[in-house]
Amino acid sequence: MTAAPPSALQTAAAIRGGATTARAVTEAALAAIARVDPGINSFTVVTRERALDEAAAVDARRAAGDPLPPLAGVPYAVKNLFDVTGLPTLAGSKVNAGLPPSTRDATLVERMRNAGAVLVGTLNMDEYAYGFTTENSHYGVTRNPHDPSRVSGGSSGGSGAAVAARLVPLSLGSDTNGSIRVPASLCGVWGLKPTFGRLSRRGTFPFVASLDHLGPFATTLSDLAACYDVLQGADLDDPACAQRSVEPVTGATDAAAGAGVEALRIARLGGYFDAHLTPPAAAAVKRVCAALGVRRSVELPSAATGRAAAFVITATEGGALHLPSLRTRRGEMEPLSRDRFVAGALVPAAWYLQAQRVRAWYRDQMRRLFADIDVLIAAATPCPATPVGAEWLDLPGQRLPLRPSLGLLAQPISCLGLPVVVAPIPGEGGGALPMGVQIIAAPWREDLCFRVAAALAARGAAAAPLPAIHA
Amino acid sequence: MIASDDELAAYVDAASAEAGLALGPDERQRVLGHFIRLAAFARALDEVKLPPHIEIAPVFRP
Repeated sequence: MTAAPPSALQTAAAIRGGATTARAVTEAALAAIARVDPGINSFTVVTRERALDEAAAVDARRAAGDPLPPLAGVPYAVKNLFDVTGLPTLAGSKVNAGLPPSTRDATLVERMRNAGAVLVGTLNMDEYAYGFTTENSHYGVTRNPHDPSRVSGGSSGGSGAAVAARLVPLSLGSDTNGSIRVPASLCGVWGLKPTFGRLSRRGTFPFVASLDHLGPFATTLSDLAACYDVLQGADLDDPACAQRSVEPVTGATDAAAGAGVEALRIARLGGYFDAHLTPPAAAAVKRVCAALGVRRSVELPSAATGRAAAFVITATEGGALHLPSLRTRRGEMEPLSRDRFVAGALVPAAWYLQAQRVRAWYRDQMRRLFADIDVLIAAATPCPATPVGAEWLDLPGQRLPLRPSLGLLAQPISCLGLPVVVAPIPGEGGGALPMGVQIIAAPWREDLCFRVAAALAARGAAAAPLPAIHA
Repeated sequence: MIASDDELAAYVDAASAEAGLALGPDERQRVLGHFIRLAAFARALDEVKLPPHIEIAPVFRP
């Protein structure tokens, strides 16, 4: 195994200092994608020309003596539901391949470009984001860089795998019911699902407007924070985007911030969250709690009800969104999800409205829990990465269908729009797979998630392991 | 909500026809399986007794 490639911030510093150029970094990233990605299938399009153009612009600014923005020359890639000028926005589908090319980048892609980052491609996903495994029948399975016989998680599987394989230090994805947190967990990288409404969704293909979030993946916590900070900001073009000013978290990831977590009231989520853990997941939570000195456990009695609300809202809004395609092009849609979309399109209005009202009631319950707790800890997934094609998840005392159940621990949290940093916890023992733990805070308190994550990183409990696939 | 699986199947048949979704026999069975699962979740939600003032969270801004 080779040494870890430089982080995004190290790369930006090297370019700023003249130790390398954006062009050299970009060419190296493109070469790594060509060499490694055939084995994992994380990219659907490599935007070579655009990447070299953006890199040239960074190098020209430096040559002119202009100050460089924070991510200048850093390669990144986006889930293929982000609009990228010149490309149809696939959202993992065959149906969308016939759409006209986008004429404008998504807001978050514009912000990455303004920060100097270099887009090297678009990434595989479950069709229309309705899945947790990225077993895409049109564009192939995205395989886990730590074990290519296993899935990368989903629906932002390409975003997790490309970062885990060190093809890019940063990527962007979306999370409706766990689609950032599940692949971050299974791929062993850092992931952030910010507060609902924090980041603009303008220019991304929707799934469930009530629940859709966007966010970054990274190999280091500092990179995750730096990326999140450049993505923040109000946007009137997304009606759900809160009109809040930027609240930077970069300072929350330094060692001093991490050392201050003893003042925070941290508890582990028990009950429902304990009942859906395989032994490796339970071990990961235990290690995190030991590192943080967490002894308190709390229950969220209505977690299962919250998940039920998310399930019904998702099926209904997703089914209604795709009803025209379901009528006329159903045969071209993903066999693993189209029947669920059809069922969702048939949901009575009363079920949907009750689910939305229960969501509001559930939110009020969680607000009370946060009255005397700052941060909650829970596993991100019930298990580490599962084999490609696996159908069942075996938990103590129960067997569940795997594909919808990978989000069991993520859905009750995203239903409330709470901010979550997923911390990658390396597997214990030779060959053991990593998996993620959710660090959850009250709405708009991403800073607390980052502070606790910084403590875990500083204490050696959390880190993104380098996969053997990295040659 | 106490509809039987047969009653849910009749609902799926009627609603899919109304929605313009002609389902073949195998597809109908798969869709029905998912719909029965959704119905179970909906029943759990229906058991939550909510006061009338709890509203959904709208984002529509005129």
